[in-house]
Amino acid sequence: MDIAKEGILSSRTISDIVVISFNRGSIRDEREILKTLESLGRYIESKNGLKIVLDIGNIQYLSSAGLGHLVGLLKKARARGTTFKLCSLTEGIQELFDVMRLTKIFDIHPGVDQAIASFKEATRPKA
Amino acid sequence: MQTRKTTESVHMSVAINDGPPPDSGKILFDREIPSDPALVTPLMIRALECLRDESLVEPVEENKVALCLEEALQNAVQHGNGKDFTKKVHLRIRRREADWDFVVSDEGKGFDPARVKNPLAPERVWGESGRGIFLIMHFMDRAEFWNGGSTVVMTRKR
Repeated sequence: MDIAKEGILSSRTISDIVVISFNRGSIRDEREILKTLESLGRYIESKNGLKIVLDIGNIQYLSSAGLGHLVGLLKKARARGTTFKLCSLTEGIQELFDVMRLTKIFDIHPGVDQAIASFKEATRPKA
Repeated sequence: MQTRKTTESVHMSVAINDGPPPDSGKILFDREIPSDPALVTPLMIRALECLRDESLVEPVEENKVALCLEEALQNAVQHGNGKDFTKKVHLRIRRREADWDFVVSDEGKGFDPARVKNPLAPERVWGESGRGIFLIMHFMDRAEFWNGGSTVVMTRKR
């Protein structure tokens, strides 16, 4: 499966980390966002032990269905030993995560660089 | 006489009235759609255009209001009418001096408030559904259920 060809997503690999980004995400795109998250779920289920950063900085609007899909992705990732991080949440989406207390279960970073750095920090041997 | 059933938990309380909501305010928008989830977004976009035209919502608040409307419309289409295309979902926007509201109605039997669980409970944070009513109650100034739950009136101050 080539996730870069999944509609409104683009992806790149930085060392062993897959960085997946949404190219757009307004209210008009919501159905496409949901379908794309379902495709991403199938991708996560197809492999074990991945390192994924999902950059949702271009998503301006998410409904409770979108939040549910993201929780589903996190559950699928955990079941396959994949580390799944989110980054670049807009103020509005961050508020949604705060209100629903999803910040307790997601590993969220301000941007892609910080999310990638957090993988390196996790693997760096302690002095 | 109206009767009210209420379920309460730490963070949410859902009250359902048996009868219809009282008529109130000037009707700015009055549309209905068949119960097809694909028709919800186009209806939402038209409703948002109406709010914008009437200067009823600040741009920064628009996505929150849209979210509440989508949750109510999807609940009506999917749970209220069970995606039965022969059943309609009706949306009105009403304006008063101090506030305005969305009135979303379906042709279903309503719902039992006891079945509405608090999505913030530790055991439900990992749930993949069940956040819609909570979000409506959080982002609107008031949310009331009528007709046994088949109509929701969601109010925001102007």
